[in-house]
Amino acid sequence: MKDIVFVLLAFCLGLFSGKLGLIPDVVPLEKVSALVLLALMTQVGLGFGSGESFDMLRRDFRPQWLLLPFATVAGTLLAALLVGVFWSLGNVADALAVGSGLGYYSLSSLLITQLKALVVAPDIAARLGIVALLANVLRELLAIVGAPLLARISPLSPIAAAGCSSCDISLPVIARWSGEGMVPLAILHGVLLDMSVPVLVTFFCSL
Amino acid sequence: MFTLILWTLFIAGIVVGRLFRRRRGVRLVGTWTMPTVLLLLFLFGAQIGSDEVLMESLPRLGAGAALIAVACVSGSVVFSALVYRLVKNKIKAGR
Repeated sequence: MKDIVFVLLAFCLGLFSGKLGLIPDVVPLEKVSALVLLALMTQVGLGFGSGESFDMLRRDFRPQWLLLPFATVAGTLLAALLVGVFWSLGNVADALAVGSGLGYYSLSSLLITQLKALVVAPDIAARLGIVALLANVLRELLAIVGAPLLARISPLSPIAAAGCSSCDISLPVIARWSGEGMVPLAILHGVLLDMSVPVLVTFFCSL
Repeated sequence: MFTLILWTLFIAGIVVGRLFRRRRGVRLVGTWTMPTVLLLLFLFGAQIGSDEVLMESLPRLGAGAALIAVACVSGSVVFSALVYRLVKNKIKAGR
């Protein structure tokens, strides 16, 4: 929860700074953002490689556990596809890109902004980036707040709703409402989804 | 080109992280993503804040975001419930 607050705070501070014209014109915001994004992706890679999730993935893996991450992604993408057909904020590929953030609000919004800016005007890319940020933050909030209700549908549902956050931020509510026994699956689910977000987002941004 | 560099760095990060996982420094850099994320979000906000047209469209963007968030969560919940039914029945069938 604290993380989400800091993230939104940083974003709002940026909004105000931009609005009040506090950033000197000489600073090439887009170039700096691109460089910092490269740094972030490197860090995320380092985190994956050096973390325990890598070993855990090899150790505790059971093939049938894959059903849940697949279900989460399939359900998300199908829903995003349907929204994309009807909404006015972008085309179907855009909706799929936003949906494939799977709750990973920081990386997905930043990736979308940068990658889409390669093919469309930067402000249109930024528009989609904002939607991605807000949508994925909301996804996490819905998962955390809705966990008690979702657990009544099935014990797997709070995990699926949480998406990537099932292995960290949402894990406590999952343990509480789906049961402690679901924790290993929730962690695996989150880790796998974490790894698929860059792939899926990049793919849909290239369509 | 940018995407290529991005992905090369990402994979390089995983490889280096794996090779040097015993080094505390490497693990720290890998897990301390928060400062980088906060910086990026600040820059992202600044880019948007300085664009008046974008600022004006924020409410509409928020509504679209809410729609897709609810839709995607619902989709995942439905599919996961289906998986649960499937697995539960398999267990009942004695497999």
